[in-house]
Amino acid sequence: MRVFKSFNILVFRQKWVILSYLGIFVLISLLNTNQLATKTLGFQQTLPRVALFQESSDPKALAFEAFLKKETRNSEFQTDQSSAKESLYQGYLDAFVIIPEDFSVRLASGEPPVLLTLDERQEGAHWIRQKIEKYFLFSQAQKKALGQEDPAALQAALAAEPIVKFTNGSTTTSKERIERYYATYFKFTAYILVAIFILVFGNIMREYSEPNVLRRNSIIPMSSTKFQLQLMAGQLIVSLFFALFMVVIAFFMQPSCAKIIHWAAHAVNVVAFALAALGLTFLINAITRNRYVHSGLSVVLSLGFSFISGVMIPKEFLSPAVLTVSRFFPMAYYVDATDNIIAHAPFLQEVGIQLLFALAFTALGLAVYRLRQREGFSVLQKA
Amino acid sequence: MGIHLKYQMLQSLREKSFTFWNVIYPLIMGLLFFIAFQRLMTPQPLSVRVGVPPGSVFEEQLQSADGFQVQPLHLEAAKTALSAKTIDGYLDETGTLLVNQSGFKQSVLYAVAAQAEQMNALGIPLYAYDFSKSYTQIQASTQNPWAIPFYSLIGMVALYSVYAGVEYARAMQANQSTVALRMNVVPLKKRSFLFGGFVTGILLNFGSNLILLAFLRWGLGLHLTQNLAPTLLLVLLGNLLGLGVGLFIGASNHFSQNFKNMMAVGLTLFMASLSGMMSPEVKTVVQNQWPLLDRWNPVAIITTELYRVNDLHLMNSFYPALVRLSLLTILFFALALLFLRRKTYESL
Repeated sequence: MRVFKSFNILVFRQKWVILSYLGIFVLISLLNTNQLATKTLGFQQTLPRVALFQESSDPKALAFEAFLKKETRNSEFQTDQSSAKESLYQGYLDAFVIIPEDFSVRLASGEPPVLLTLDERQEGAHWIRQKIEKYFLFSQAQKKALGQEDPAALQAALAAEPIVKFTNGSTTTSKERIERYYATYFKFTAYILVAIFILVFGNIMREYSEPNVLRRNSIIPMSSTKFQLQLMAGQLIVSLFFALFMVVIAFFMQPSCAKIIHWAAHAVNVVAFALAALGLTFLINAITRNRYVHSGLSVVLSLGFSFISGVMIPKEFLSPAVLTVSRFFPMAYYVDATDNIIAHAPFLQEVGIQLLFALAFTALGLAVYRLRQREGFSVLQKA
Repeated sequence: MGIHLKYQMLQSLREKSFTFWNVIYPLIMGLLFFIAFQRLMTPQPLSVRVGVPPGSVFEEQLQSADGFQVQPLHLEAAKTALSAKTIDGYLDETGTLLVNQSGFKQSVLYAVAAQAEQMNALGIPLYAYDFSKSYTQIQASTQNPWAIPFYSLIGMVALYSVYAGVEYARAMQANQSTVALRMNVVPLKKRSFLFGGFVTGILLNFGSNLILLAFLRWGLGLHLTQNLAPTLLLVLLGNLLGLGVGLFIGASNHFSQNFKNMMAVGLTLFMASLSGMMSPEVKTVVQNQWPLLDRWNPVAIITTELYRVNDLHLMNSFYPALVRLSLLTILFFALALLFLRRKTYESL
């Protein structure tokens, strides 16, 4: 077990690389726990976010302002129209509303009494406009039917709310929040595993391919097969350790929510993905032992797979072509399996596909490795 | 001087890590952002899939309204459709809304149901409502939060001359490397060697920034840099500042070269994250909660000015931003100089 032990010592020497990745991951996961903080009951309306500039002191304008504050999320950050325009560009606001000084004059003369700045192409813009139009539609209908506006009756009518029912019989959203949190956590785990495996195992395998080390290893009283098997066992055990470690961290993130999560299923899925990632790492190590290629591939492949497979950006925002490309890599199936586990749907097929990827990558890696092994002998012969 | 320039440039170009981190890595990041945000960058019109009982009052109303895909369904079929997520909500004859989650589209349906409920509560006859009249005067504006990560990426790579700065600080300190030791004892003008190094660092990084800008414009078809002159000026100042920061990191401590490089990577990535590279929302939060940090974070300064100049066509904060970048550059160069000047060694 000497090779296995030396492999583990080399893994330990990579602790700063591992800890920096894990540190960022845990930090982001902890920051995300604020998703779980609000445990609300019933239907939650998503309110448009606006900045309001009240320039009129007319009672009608003030009544409209009160309505708008109730029907929107009013942002207090925008102190002037220029900063509001910038917040609108950043997507922080859906619109900004100006109630002009001559509000009542404009309303009486039939001119639009409200100035609304928005990007008409956006969904939120349509919605805020609809809310404002509704207010004046009602108040002007009152005026037409009754001869004058009745603010008290208008406020009472606007306070009326429809009945909302949930089809699943449950009105609690805390379960949804917990599930959403863990879906994000487990998806992000895939990114971390790929990045760590490629970088750490790449660094270690590069050390084994140093000419001096190769020369020493060629004279030790151990067969090449046994040597390679111990190396592979080391990689396998370390990979499984990392995979299960991520599941254990997940448990300790929110122990009080543990009952809701299907831990065994997630563990199976994470382990299957770890094996696929290990297979990919094995293939990369067989192809190259270059330090720069490893650090480059670690960043590019982990980020690339994460972007196209729905880890960083939800799948519904990705184009069909990108989603099609993602099907050629195991991370897409891992993300599908995670979604299925959260939705209590079957997930074993996706797990099976990940294991097939693991096998395919390993087989390819072995084929390339045999070719590289001959190169290794030629290095020794030259030396 | 010319010979220093030539050899230092060749040395950098032969460095594989330079080619990857300064040229290829930004292109890959740009491509990944493009893939990820492609659909979000093209606003989708409002489209809410709503189920209604066949022949109900909502069926006619919603079919004539924009943004609704109406599906006549009976209650049981609607429940199945909601579970399968083929509809966003169901409005029954009484105006009760049936959903299986909270969200934006469900809130739009809630607003429809609420309007019907509120019209009943108001008790005004239908003839009094003038649905054709508009009460809002629209002033068009642009909302494009997904451009922010791209601008932030440009800001981050502009500061990638930080690596050259760290490297030149090493080359100037005889106790840091063998090359530096040799450089200190050979009969060579140190000034021209250093100046050659600075020019090389700026030229190469600025060149790789131009490759990124060209790739975004012609490779991905993104019209991010409509106002080219101020854009290039910001990027160039970012390069100068990056070099200063790199010199400071390289000269101010005795950590290993690897650790200094890690500091440079971490610092640029951290500044880019705060300026919205990972999520535009982060930029907004920092801008609103910690405005001082946003005003003095170099990547945030470049990011903010890039979208103000190119998308919002605002120039009022451009020159103050240039002043802030210049002040930071002078500060870091001065600090680096404090650590580097008049250094003597007892033994080497």
